[in-house]
Amino acid sequence: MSPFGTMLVANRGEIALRVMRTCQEKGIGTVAVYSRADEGSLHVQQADRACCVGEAGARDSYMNVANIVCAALELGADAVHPGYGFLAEDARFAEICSAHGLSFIGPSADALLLAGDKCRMRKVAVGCGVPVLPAASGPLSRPEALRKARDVGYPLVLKPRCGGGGRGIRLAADEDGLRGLLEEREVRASLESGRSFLEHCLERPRHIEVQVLADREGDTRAIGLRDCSVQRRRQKMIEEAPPPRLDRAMEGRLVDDAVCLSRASGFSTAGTVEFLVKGDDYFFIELNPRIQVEHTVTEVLTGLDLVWEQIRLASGSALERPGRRGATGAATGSRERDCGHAIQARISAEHPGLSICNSQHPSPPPLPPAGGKVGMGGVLRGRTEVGELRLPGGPGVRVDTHLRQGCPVPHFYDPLLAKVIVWAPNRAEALIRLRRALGETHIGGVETNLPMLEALLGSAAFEEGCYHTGLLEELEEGGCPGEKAHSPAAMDLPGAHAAIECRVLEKGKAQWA
Amino acid sequence: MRPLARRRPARRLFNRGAGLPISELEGLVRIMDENRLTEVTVDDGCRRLALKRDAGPREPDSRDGGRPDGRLAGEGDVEGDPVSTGLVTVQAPGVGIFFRSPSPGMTPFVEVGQVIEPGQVVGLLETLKVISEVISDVRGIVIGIEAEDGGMVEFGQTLLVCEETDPV
Repeated sequence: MSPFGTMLVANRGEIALRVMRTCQEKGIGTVAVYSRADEGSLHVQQADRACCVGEAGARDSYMNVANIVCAALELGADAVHPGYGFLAEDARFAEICSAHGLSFIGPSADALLLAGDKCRMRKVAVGCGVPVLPAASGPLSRPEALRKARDVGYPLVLKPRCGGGGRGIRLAADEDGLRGLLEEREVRASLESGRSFLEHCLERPRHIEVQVLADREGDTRAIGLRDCSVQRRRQKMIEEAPPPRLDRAMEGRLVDDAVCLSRASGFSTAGTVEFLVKGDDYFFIELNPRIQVEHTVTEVLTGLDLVWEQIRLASGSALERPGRRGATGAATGSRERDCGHAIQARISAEHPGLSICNSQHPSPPPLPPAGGKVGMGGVLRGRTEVGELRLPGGPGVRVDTHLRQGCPVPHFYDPLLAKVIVWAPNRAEALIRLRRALGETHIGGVETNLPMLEALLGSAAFEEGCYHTGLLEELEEGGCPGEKAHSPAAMDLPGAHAAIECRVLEKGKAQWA
Repeated sequence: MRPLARRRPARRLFNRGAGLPISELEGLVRIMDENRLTEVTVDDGCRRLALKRDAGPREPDSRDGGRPDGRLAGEGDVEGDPVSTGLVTVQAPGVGIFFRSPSPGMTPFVEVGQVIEPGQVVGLLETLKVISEVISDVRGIVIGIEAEDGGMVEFGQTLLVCEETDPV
């Protein structure tokens, strides 16, 4: 039985479709919201009803709380799913939804506030006995920052206390680096006000996270781990489960600590506890109380529908008891190690000069105001459009995408175009399958990171499963022994990301051959 | 159940910020010139672009069809009026309930045939119990009221259609 009659999905792109698919299977009606840049988008067509909520800019539309809540009420929704990004971790939005009788599919506003504050979460972790990296927080003057930085240890990062997704993080390799950062007035102000803090930077760690489900009774279970170490500018590119070459003892400790932490933070939903792992050490970094881009990896491994679990938990349902894993209930926390291997590659658009365009902090060029005179600038502004589209298929391949031939790719939002997820009985076969699937993929008219993904998947380090967050850098520096045999092009690319990008952005077909 | 209003006012097409190579635009303009067209709509299934030329006094178009949108051409048609320059719309500035008058039973802010000015209040919009004024950003003669009094409107939905007039 469906806990809700109609769900408004306050998001766009593949995740909006993903949520609607579950709703449709469960007999829940769907309402889409969309911006002017997304008229005609697949998520608008997929929904039973749709409502335009604002201009193209995310703040005017997908983050316009009044318009979204009003649309939900007027179109008869009784629940709101925020997806990821946009309003997914906005405590105020969750509160306003509740105040208007709408169920927010996520944790309580209090839990959102806690999870969104890295300094408070660090204290919760310390209280649970979960290791955290050395850090210095609280209002810090320039001399204090420099003094405490020695205790924290270089290299270190300057991190915003709130806000996620690796945004706003600054690196200081040594004291000179920190002095340099402190020259910037904004940096000083954020430290002095306590909006930022200093945290020791672990070099070349693995990024491993635990997917957890928790109900309102406090029953909390870990249902799988994911390795998300392949990153580019702190944005995940490839995720896999189970994490390769992770010993069982470490896995056990991560799972126990993740469960302990989510229980202590009092959240009841689907969420992820993220850790950095290096050697025998591990450190908690953050708790994400929402559905994540890479939830799919756990889904194909466990057979669970995590969006459905999230909806059930939000409606107050309890987790299924261990040993009674059914079609509608959560897994029992049984090890997924015996369930094969799953890998996901995120295919993203490469916007020249706009690569770090993201949904949380969009900085699009302003559109002409509604009803205003539109100059030539408005008409001539560049717009990317998908040409020929070929998506992969076959056994063990899942594709989550909102693309179709001819659809525009607005540059206002996250550049994620498609997620290709493969499953196979073991890692080696999964890797072969993913390479095959990406080889089948063609997204015409848009420059994508496909060549970069293929180079990563072809690297010896990835193949052997011993890689860390610096993998891409190493490939670009050509410093990875044995690399040449797998990806000759990587040797042509000394230096920074820019090299790969230039290559990818070359007119015509960018090839690595 | 299909979405609410799926009208696509001409104005909205101009507003979408759709980017076309300048050569394509120039080509369209040339086609319009050569065939003395006042409006061209290109629809390739995914993207629609409407170009409309001011039927200004410099190039009086004596032919019928100067108003290609038949739906709007009849009532209040002021063709030949030298100050008329085209159709413009007033759109909903947000999502909410649209009200034509200050309170039930009172005279509506505007009626068909009335001239409205930029800055003039033409209705009310209630969003989550907050009522705001809908203010015209156009100057013209109202020839159609497209939104129902007390009905829900979405962002950008056409509320009023007007024949644009030049400032006196």
